Amino acid sequence: MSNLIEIKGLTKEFPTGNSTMFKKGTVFRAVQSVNLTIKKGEIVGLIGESGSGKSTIGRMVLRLIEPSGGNIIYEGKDITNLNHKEMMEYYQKMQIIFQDSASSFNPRKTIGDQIVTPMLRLGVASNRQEAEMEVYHLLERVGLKREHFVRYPHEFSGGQRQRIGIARALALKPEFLVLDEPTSALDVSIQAQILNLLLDLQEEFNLTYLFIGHNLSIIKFFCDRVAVLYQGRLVEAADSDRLYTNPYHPVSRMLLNSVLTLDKKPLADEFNENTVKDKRNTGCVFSGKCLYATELCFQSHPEMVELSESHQYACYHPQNVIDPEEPLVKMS
Amino acid sequence: MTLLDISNLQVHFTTSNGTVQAVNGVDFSINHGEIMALVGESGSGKSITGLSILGLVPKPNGKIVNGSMMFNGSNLVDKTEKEFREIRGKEIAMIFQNPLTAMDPSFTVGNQMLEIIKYRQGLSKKNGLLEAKKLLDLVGIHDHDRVINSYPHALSGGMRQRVMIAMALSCKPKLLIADEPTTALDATIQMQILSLLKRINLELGTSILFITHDFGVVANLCDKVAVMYAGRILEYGETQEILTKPKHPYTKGLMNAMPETSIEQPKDGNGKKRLEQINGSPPDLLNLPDGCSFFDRCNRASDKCCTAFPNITTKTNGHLVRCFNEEEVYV
Repeated sequence: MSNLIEIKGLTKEFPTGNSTMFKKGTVFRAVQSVNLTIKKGEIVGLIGESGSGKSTIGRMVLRLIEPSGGNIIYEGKDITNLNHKEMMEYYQKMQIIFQDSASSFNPRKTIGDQIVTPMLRLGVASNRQEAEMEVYHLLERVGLKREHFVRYPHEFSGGQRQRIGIARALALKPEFLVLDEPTSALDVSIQAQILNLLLDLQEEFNLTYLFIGHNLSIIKFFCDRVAVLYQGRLVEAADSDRLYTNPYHPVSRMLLNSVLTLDKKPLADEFNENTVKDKRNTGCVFSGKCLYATELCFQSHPEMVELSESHQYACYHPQNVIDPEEPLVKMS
Repeated sequence: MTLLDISNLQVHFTTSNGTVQAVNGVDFSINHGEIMALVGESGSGKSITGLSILGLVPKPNGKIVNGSMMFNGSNLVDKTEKEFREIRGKEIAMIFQNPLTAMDPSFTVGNQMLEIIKYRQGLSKKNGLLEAKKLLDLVGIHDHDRVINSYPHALSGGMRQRVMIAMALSCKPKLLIADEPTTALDATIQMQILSLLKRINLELGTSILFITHDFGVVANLCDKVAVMYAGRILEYGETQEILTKPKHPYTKGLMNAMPETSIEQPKDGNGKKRLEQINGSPPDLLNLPDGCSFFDRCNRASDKCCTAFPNITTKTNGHLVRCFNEEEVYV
């Protein structure tokens, strides 16, 4: 499988303080040098707490937010610095499905109109009639009816609106979809319907997904590979089965512990609730909360360690090393 | 000992399109020191049940048309607004899904906490502040001064929910109604809030009515569970009993719809990964079907289900089910 998207050293800084002529303003680093590759036909999950930068990465990949540093490479072509006109081609290839389906539609336009407009703009359909036929077909494919074409967004339930969001993204015949928590706002039974639909569509249209979420059990079910983020840093990346059975980073372990399953288990936190504040601010992003943190952790952020081609982590004191014989190779 | 006993509760809303039967004959009871879960999809009437206990059913459209709610020997349905004021907060408190909209954005957290404490316990400002700090300690907030002087928007979602819980606990209520308190939170923060609620339940003996749609939460926190659908309770019993031997197809469907991390990936016949889903969507509450309200989504439905609504049948261990074709064995 060839790489569809490569993210190299992606960084995003948001200014927070006022800068003056003499003083630079403070910045908040939402994403810090993240590397990630997404292969064609793969489903990659991005998981992390809120504020860990997962949505920011998703939006930067689509160039909805401009990155402050790093590169985004789509099928071998660096698209980081393309202008709006040059990006047109890629806007069609990459689409996004938002978490809040209610606010991602224009309340004053019928949903049919909203799907047809970008199709004509990006040249997917040559005329309106052709576009409309295509939309009818798509609405039926995602489990809605033809007559829904002329309805307004508020007339639908949350699950139905999410289906329309999927139809809107698919109308442009994309190759790559960012799914930004597509089911977080939905009921459990509807969530299963949407996830199954997304899986079917992936096969049918040969899509590649970047799935953003915070629920590990869904990520494990849905994704082939998972990247764990914490405060803007990538801390572990592995195949989803492997991450579940053999997590190395304390953050991954913390997230795994917070999954509520049907078998009863004690409610316990496996991390330091009272955050240790370190002024140097140079160490590992998790050092303040980590139970295993040492002086080294506060001094510098650990490099990514490559266990195998599909499993990397960034930690000085990985826990749960089940197979100590495995060679630890440092990434250059 | 029974703290709250609800029987045949019916809440209807009059709209321009007709009468919405939001709650349609709900019976359950909560004992002292018990955590009970009310599980269901959105629109199943679980929140309205919670609101009606506190006399907060939106007026004038909403109305409790039938039923009784016995709380500590008195019927809550007959209470006037004035009498309810003595109960809200003092006897029964509530925490909401979105703490940001439940707090006033223009006052500091400390101000809002003091208001309740001063009014309920008649303490001076100085003593009230001490009490507020004690409460914040209880919910695991240790940097009191910062939190007390912050406005609600300046706190994180988890912190806000903790403050809400502290405010709800300020009068040591006997019953706490928690309306999806963790739905808007991260998995890690959810865990912290749930263990906090469990600790409060153990330390203060507060009974909790936990409204949720997540069976994972139920399994880890609650003693009893009632599964609601279209305003009715379809299954009711001890958590362990329901989790291991669910009899209603809807309960089973809800439990299977959530992928489990500990077991093999769910797959369909062709080896493709697939979740078990409940097809369709909940019925229109404006005109409920004559038969079972779950009829058109049920995979075990028979002709009988279409015409008649099943009555409650009692199984072993106080396990109640409303279904004609219940599952006998669960594997």
